[in-house]
Amino acid sequence: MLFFGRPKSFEGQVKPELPVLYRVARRMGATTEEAEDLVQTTLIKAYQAWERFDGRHLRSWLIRILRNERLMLLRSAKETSSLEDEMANEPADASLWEEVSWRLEAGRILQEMENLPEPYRLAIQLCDVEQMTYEEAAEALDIPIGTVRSRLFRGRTMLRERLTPIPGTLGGVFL
Amino acid sequence: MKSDDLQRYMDGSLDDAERSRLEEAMNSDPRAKQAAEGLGAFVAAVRRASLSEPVPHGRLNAALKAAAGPKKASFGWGQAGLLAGAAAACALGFMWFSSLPDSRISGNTILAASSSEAVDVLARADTVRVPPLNLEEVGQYRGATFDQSHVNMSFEVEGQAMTLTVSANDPPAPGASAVEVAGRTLFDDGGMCWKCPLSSYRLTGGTPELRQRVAGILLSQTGYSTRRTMESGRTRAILEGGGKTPCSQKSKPGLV
Repeated sequence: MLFFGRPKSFEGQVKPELPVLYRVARRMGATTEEAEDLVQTTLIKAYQAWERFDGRHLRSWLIRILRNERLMLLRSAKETSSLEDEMANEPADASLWEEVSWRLEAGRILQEMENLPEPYRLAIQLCDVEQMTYEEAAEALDIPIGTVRSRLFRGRTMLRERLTPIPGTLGGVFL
Repeated sequence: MKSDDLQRYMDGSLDDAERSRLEEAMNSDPRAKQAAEGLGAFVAAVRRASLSEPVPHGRLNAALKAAAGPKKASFGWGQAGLLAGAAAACALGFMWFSSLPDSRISGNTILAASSSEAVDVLARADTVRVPPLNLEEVGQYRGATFDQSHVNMSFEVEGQAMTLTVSANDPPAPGASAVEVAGRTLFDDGGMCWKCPLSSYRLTGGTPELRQRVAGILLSQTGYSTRRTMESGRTRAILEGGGKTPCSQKSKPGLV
């Protein structure tokens, strides 16, 4: 039974995206409590706009709403971040990734991810963690596909540089 | 080979011709292949780390239900009366419902689809506090039971049934042998045991080798550092605080 035209598919379609939204909110720098609030606000906005959603790339659409809500919060706090010329910083050889066959402790990785500038952090979160395509990530972040790729490249490079070498790792687990 | 090509290869965004060219290069150049494997391992480690972070499924689901509640709509006075009656009934229903125990608990069994959801339920139950654990990282979660001083979480790894028991601290079992896990000395007396200041962990089931491997991963999830002491001539590792959540923060007084 429908109540006041409630789209019955909203809950079913959005539910699998809840962990994704929460993790992305966390990667945006939100605390656990802020992330929950942010997801809640996003869900309300998404539900209100559900009838206007074109049905393509649900995850990107939700993350874009989440990001806009986060930006509104930050704007009020006058927090800004700047991004240097991304394309100019790309090294051109593959040796960077040599000897990077290791296992890292989760907390340390998350900690270093928090230290990355947000644009790089989000590119890694969307493409590497949530396994979104460049196109989906570009749509979510409202940036060109080339920028997603360069941010991902730069973000991975920065993260790798911060994580290796890690003193105290033995047997693949850092304690 | 350019790093950008390697990245696009790993991300599946090269066209067929470019991919073939790169695969040929990797077949003939071990360093290139090693670089690809390194990038793959790095991305997998980052993904695993992020997915290991606990997600408050229960509260997010509640937020979804709340967000997807009835929309405002125009209606007449007759409908307003009907709605007021419905609201009163809902309020009474809520009062009744809120007095019920968590519907995801049946007797001593947690009705949860995942370990993180089970932890979320346990956080509200009157039992030993379980820190954020992601058993799906090591295998398939099978279920959880609890009483006031123990939580048993069952899961399956490589076809072998295992159980992680979180309980108030117990002394090491007599005759327990010291075992190296992930570079740390712990006890294995048929079950792998480790401790934090207020709670003990015991991992049972599977082969000793599998227990060691799984214990290493679970140790990294709980995130406790170790302090070594000598006790009865044996090295004993005590896991100390520093984890993401103090493991028995909500335990009942006297149980720990």
